[in-house]
Amino acid sequence: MIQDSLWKLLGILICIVMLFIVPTMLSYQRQDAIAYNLVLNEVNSFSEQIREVGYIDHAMLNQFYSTIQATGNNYSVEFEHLAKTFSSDGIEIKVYYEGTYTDDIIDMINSNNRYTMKIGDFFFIHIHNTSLTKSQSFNQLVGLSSKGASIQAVSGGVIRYGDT
Amino acid sequence: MGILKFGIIGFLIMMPFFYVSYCQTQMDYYQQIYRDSIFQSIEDASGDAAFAMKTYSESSFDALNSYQIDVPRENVVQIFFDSLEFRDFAYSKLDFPFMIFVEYDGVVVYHPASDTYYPKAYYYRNKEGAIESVNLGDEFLSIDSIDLTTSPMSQVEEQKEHIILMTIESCLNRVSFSLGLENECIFELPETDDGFYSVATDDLSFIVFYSSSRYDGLGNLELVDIKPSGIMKMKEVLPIDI
Repeated sequence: MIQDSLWKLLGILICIVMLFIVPTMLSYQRQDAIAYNLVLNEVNSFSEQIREVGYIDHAMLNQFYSTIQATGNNYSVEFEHLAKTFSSDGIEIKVYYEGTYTDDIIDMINSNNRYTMKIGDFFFIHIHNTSLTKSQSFNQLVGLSSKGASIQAVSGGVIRYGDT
Repeated sequence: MGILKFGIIGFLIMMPFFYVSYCQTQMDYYQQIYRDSIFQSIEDASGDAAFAMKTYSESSFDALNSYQIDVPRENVVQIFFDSLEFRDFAYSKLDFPFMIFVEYDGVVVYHPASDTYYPKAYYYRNKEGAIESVNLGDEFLSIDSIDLTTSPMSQVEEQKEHIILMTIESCLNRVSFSLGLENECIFELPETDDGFYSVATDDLSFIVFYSSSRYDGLGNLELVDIKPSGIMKMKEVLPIDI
């Protein structure tokens, strides 16, 4: 009798897992993939826009933030501006890159409404999720691993237009 | 009850297969993302290099009053590698067996491992400096047989593309032989009539060959792509194979 009950219980458990948990998990994973693609496209087009115009301003920044937040996750966005600089020891000229990072760039945008870069500089955006994605939350709920960023991307390159 | 037992036992037997299939699918998905990010990084970095090539090249006239364009190749290569490095992309120079500068008067193949440049002009000049023939791989076409004034524009473009591609092919093969890589890299550019290569021959361009030895775990990368500033995936033999 007890054995029969255990078989039934096992059957019910398997039904619950296969009918509810697995489809939910897969659909959340799919949503993560969609969010990743959206974030990647947005980061690529935003960095492309900045590289083409040579500056970042408030309007561009706000639009970018509002688009990526539409995915329902929170992100850490880091900006990296590597200004091409030259140094000479009297014999040869050496190129090195002087970095300006997120906080300074945001401060500059807040005070001047615009952060300007020069042609030939490098500009990169690093992004990763700080809140748990739906898939990660669900994994945590069922006791699976949910560590690390599920969505992360790097985009950028040489500034093609700007001050010389 | 018997049916329930059989059902559960059958499911438990099938479970490992479902699990392996699920893991394989997940692995393929992450591999694909990883591959895409690798190729995107290389493509963007080569785009940066091509931009530098077009922006920093200087033009002048020499003593014979002919137009000279000086491409700062070292600078372009440096920008390519800098750009990769800033993207946190792990690489060594051995991952890039060849790089090609497509210039206005010829192509230059760069071999990063030995830091050597191999130039090859599109045209052969006689002792007086006049253009005598154009390079078409193993054969030479007399300049007199090309009539640029009366030929339709599309035909001229086609001829230009053919000349550039043949020059790239013969130069790559010659470099391959000279470096003893003839068993690994033999180049044979297939004929195309759909303008596939025209993007790389329209203007100055920078082409990078990428060998994925570092990412062997990602399986066979079958992407072959050529752009004005693009990448070409190397296979063991016949890297440019469409």
